[in-house]
Amino acid sequence: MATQHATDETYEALVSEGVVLADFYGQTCVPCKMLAATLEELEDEFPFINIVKVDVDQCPVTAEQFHINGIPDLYFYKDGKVLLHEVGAVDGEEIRSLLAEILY
Amino acid sequence: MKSKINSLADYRQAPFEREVVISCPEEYMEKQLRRLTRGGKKTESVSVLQKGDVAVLTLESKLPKFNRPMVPVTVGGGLYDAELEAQLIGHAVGETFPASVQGESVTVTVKQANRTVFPEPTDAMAAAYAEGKEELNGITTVADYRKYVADSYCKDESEQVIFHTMEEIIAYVLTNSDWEFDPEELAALEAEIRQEIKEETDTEPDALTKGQMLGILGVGTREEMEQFIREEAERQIASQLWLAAAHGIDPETAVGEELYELQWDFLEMYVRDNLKIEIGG
Repeated sequence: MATQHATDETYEALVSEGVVLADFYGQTCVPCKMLAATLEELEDEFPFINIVKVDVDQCPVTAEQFHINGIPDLYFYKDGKVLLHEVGAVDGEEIRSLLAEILY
Repeated sequence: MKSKINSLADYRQAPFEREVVISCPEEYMEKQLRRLTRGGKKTESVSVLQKGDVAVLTLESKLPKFNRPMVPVTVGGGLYDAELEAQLIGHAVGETFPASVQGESVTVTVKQANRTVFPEPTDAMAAAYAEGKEELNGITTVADYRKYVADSYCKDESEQVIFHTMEEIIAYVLTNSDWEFDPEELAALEAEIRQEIKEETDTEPDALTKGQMLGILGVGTREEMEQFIREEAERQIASQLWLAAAHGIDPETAVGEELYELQWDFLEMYVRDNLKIEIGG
């Protein structure tokens, strides 16, 4: 599945199956752009991981629901359950290591 | 500070690699070029596995992690198991074969395999990607973009080499000098380090699990943790004493903030003057 962009209405459905990284970001946030580049590379390499982008300005209800106080904020889901989340521009190696635990 | 330097090793005597050649690895370049071509990537079914392919495997083994149906794995991606992934290369879809992981046998069946294929980058793609990005201003061809990637990579690596060389020199001086640590200063700093560990883990250092100790401090036992805390406190005090000496400040009378604001500029300058970094092709 390619990267998908969530709305407040579609968010729950998009994170409900498989391993999903939900990336809460802002358009003008520089660390968010760094994380976005990392996620694009991960998606190339591991296309069976689903990436859901959540623009906090476009999805205020979801951002409020998850108490997003800092961005980027990355939520790791497996079959609809949040397993962990990391605030800040987490590097690729750290995400890979967390994914390895969640996936296998 | 009450701690003292009895003898200070000369940082100019520290051994380090004087000539370093840096070049941008092709694998890194390929990843950066994908930024231009990602929009046109496609997924194709393949019959024989190569590094980078995504395989769906059914595995049978005594090891629970390797006794599962329909496991998606990127060959060589390192997420599942590097040892097993290396043994997948060259095997075909539909094939069942024996593999070995951690000395145990695993029977692997390759159920499906896909490859992500990126188009060849074109000048138009490079120009489109660069548009509106200040740092890529003026890039209109793939050759321009390649040069930008290679130059940026080498610049960043050069800074890393300088930083690591400084760390090596600092370690040499701290190890080869004679320090007289004041027990009260050491104890106060050790308490600060314990507090930092507590804040990071939400756990008293004495109650950390082995996993937490390994993950945060890189040590596996309480004794090693105590040693780590002690050495870290000594390292911090010794660094401050050396910095104060290098900047001509009397550590006896300097206040904490003043000492902490001192920089390693003199060392960075020394490394830049004495380290030849050659940019390879």
